Amino acid sequence: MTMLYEVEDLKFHYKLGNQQIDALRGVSLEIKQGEFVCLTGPSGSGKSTLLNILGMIESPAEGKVKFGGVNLGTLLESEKNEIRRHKIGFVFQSFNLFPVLKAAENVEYFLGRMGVSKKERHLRVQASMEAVGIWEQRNKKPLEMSGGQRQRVAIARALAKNPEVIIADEPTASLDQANGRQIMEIFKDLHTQNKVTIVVASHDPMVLSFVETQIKLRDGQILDFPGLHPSTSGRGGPHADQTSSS
Amino acid sequence: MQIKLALRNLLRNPRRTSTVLLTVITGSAALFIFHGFNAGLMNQYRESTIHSRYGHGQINTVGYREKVFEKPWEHWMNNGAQVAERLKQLPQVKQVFPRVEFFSLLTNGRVTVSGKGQGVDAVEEAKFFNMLNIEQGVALSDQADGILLGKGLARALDVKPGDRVTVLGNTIQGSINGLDLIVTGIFHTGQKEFDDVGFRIPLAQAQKLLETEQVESVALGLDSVASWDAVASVVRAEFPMLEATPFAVLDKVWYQNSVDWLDSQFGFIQFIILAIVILGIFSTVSIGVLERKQEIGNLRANGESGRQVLGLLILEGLALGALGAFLGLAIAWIINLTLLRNGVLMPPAPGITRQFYIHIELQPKMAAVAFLMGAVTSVLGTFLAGLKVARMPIGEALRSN
Repeated sequence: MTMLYEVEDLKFHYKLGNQQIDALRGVSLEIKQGEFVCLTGPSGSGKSTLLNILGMIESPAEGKVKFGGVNLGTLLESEKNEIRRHKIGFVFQSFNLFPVLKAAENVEYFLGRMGVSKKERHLRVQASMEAVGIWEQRNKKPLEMSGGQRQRVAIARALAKNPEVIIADEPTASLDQANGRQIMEIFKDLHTQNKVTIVVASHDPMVLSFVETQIKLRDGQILDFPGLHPSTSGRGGPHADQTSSS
Repeated sequence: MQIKLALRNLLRNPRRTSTVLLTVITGSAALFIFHGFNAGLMNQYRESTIHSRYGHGQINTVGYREKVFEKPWEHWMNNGAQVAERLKQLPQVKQVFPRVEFFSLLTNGRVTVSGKGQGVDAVEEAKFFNMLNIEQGVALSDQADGILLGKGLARALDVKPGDRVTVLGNTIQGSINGLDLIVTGIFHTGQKEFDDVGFRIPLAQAQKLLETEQVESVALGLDSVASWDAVASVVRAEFPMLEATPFAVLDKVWYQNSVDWLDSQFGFIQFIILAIVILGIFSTVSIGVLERKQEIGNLRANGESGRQVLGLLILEGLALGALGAFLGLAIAWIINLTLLRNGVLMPPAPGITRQFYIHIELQPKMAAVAFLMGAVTSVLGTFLAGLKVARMPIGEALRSN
């Protein structure tokens, strides 16, 4: 499988008052195309920060991140915008749907911004909404839908872009256990049937049972994860390890 | 789709949208009415200046107005009647008013004072100069031996309408001459130095006193102010020894300076109105934009640049501004047709002793300006409110609640 992400000695810090917080302290990892990865760890472990950097939402302080072989550090902001627009689908904990648009319009919106033709947009909207089982709700607005339904719309929106990777930050955190499980089943189906690369950040143990690779972080570093065999791509310093299960 | 999103976003918080809309409506309506009031005031002032003293302009020999001459009649027009006849043929010229001015002494038999007289075609002038402030009696018209006195002059002579006054002056040859006239009325212009010495008598009487058939100037009454340039160009072409001067130049100190002064004042008030509208929109839209930080973060995460996000917000501001400005103009129009249909009663202006009404003169150009300003202020307010959030790092925007 081709490598989608190559991360080398990644560091990230931010300021909290006068104090500098090291959110990531030398993380190295690789993610192949078609992989279903979960970044896991307790709050403050750096999983969301790492996910944001993979999604080009944040820029690393130090280290190198390659996406499809391209070093992101060499890209202009406008080039990153184009990658995010065309190659990355995002799913957020709080769904981030446009409350004023209907479900189908929410899915369609970014396709229009990508320059997809109207006919193609309609085909993609229907296909992605059917894929997550929400097509019947297409004319409802987000506030008329349950949390689980909203998250399905958000996944359909990400999926409709035909992205190279779907980045999902705590996609089940706002849902009850049953809805959370259904969402993860959708991700798993998408991964199995469409071979979409999916990178999820979650601290929910239920989520781990659906993914094929787990990357456990603590205090900004990748930890050893006993019981799981080492990934072929795991490396990154004395504390770094990448584990996978299937 | 972006337009659809922008328009639908306007409906997500009706109260906030209404507040912004009301701000733009009030601002646009205020600007429109204010411009109309300004135009009404300026036009009234202009008409007052034209119809009280100067006409639309005046013709003299070239350079005459700029210099003081020992014997001014040597620079008067010998062909005044010919000039007047030619100008009467122009379609824009409705009336011509040949005039002479001279210094003289006036006496009632007991008191003698000096004065500055105007010899005018009283019958013609009475039809046009209808805004002279007549305090007592009537304006000069067909009374062959009538005299209209300035307020200060009449007080100095202690005369009233119907009293006799003798005007003593030099003929252009230098000999003494005199006229016995009857006071028809007393006027004032608001300029004390003029009212203390000024008087008007029929042109024929003045020419008799001066023993000349020359005229010093020919004032003109036109069909409109806009016709002045065309008439002036005919004068230049056909009478190279003469020059035509518009009323605004003739009355620069009083009229043009007042107009310039009022324009500056109106410009400043307009600026204040616009600033209030921008601040109102800014504060209201800021709250809305801040509440949408996550949504904006999502837009940015999905490839929209800060500029494109700002474009979406500006689109919302533009839609709201355009709608508000349109409604503001419509409301201003309705107010003008109903509440302000009789104009606005104003206290006496400088030079006028009576109250007067300013009619709000709403014009299409003003509507365009008020519409544009309403829409632009809304866009500007939205731009200022959205700038910070659009520039915010995506991660920070997504993390905000």
